[in-house]
Amino acid sequence: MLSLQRAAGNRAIARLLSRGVVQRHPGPTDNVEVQDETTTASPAEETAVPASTEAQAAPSTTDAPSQPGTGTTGTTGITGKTPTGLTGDARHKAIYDALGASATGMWAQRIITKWSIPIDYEFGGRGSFHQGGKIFLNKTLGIGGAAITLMHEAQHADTYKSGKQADRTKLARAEYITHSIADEAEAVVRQIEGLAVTESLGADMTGAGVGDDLKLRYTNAFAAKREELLKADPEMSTAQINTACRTATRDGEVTKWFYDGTFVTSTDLNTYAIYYGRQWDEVNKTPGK
Amino acid sequence: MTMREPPLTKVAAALGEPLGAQVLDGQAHLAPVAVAGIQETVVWRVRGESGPHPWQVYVGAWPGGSIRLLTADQDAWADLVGTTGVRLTNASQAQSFVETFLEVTRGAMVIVRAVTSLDDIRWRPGSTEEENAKTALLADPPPTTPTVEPTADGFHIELTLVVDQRLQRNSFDLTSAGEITRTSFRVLAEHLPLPVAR
Repeated sequence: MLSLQRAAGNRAIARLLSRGVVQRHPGPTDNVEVQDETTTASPAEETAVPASTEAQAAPSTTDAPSQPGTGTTGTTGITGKTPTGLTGDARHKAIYDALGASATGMWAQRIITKWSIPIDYEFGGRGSFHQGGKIFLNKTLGIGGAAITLMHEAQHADTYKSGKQADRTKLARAEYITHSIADEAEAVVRQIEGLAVTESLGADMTGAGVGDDLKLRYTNAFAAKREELLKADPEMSTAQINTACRTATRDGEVTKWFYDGTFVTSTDLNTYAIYYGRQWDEVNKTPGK
Repeated sequence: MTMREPPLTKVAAALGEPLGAQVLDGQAHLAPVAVAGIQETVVWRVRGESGPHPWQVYVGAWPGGSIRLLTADQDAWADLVGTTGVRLTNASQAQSFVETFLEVTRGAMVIVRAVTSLDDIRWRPGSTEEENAKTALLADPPPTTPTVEPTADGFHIELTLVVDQRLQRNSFDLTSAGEITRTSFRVLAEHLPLPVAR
């Protein structure tokens, strides 16, 4: 019976991994790209579902006192209004050390080294982003927030440097949207994977970009998949389960966030499916229209 | 309303690199922003949509010709409207002025949207905690109707805003010359299943 169950489970995994999803990174394969697999902790290992994913008690409607100001300018994402203390080499070192605490952070370090990616650790302009093989980290980000952001941007930098960036001049519209969102979803998973360890350092997480609620949605989906897989094959190894759950959660739950209005553009609050679709339309519009 | 696009080199300099380059090479575009009580165009939206994430900031064009960033900089806004001159003659104008102030000076990655009823709120799927917060909010609805009252030297305005994942009631005292003399806000609900800007 066990053998039958295992065979069924393995078939389920095989189906999962061979799905026709357009994805540059069908699994947590990026460590292999930069380092011998045997010496690299799988990002999936870091994705261990927390012991309890039960929802916390709902907060009641807040009857907070009035505060001065408007509460609308934020603390991150624009020219530095709230310096975070460390600057120069000390800030650079603190962020790099924070990366070194997690497997995903170490992956980001290897990507940065592999492609010799220049990083502005105290970008004074708008936001934090990857552009043309360079990463800009806003100076308003806390050390932990910067480390998490760097994990995200390292994914984009790797995609760019390896020539896997979605090309709206070559792909069909639906493919372009799917490819673009796939890279974003992978980058968000990187952030979530690094979150717990980086938070545990006690670092300032200002600007981390993902919070506890999204992490909870991720871990809930991860746990549900794990339960499904274990039901199908109780003898699956932890590594197999984590890898399969990571892929399924990224391509399911996290990818959905770019379509269902969880993540929206900061400009006109559209979903990313709409945004990428418009990008494609702009490049491929009929001349004269 | 008079409208003369500011020199792109000045806009690019105000943004700094690497985004300034997108203004110069045509990847980012300018659009005029009307401000109630000001005849000429003094605020411009700059938006770039060529990358994986769109970006947007607002710049002000001072009468002397200088261009400065207004996004997340309420002091710069105050200086701009003080230098330019504003005349708010009625409640509708005053409310529009404040709503533009909020949009132009919001943090670039902060969602700020005025709502007039809970029906205006765009929900997303949330965690159990977030859904519970939403249920509590809907069971005990806070004030959402905008109010604008004339005062001795201008207006008192109250608006309900979505700010990222929270709902808040903001109040403003402003003069008819557009000087915002007092602002405050009260958080009505937080940790709501509301969209996250990326």
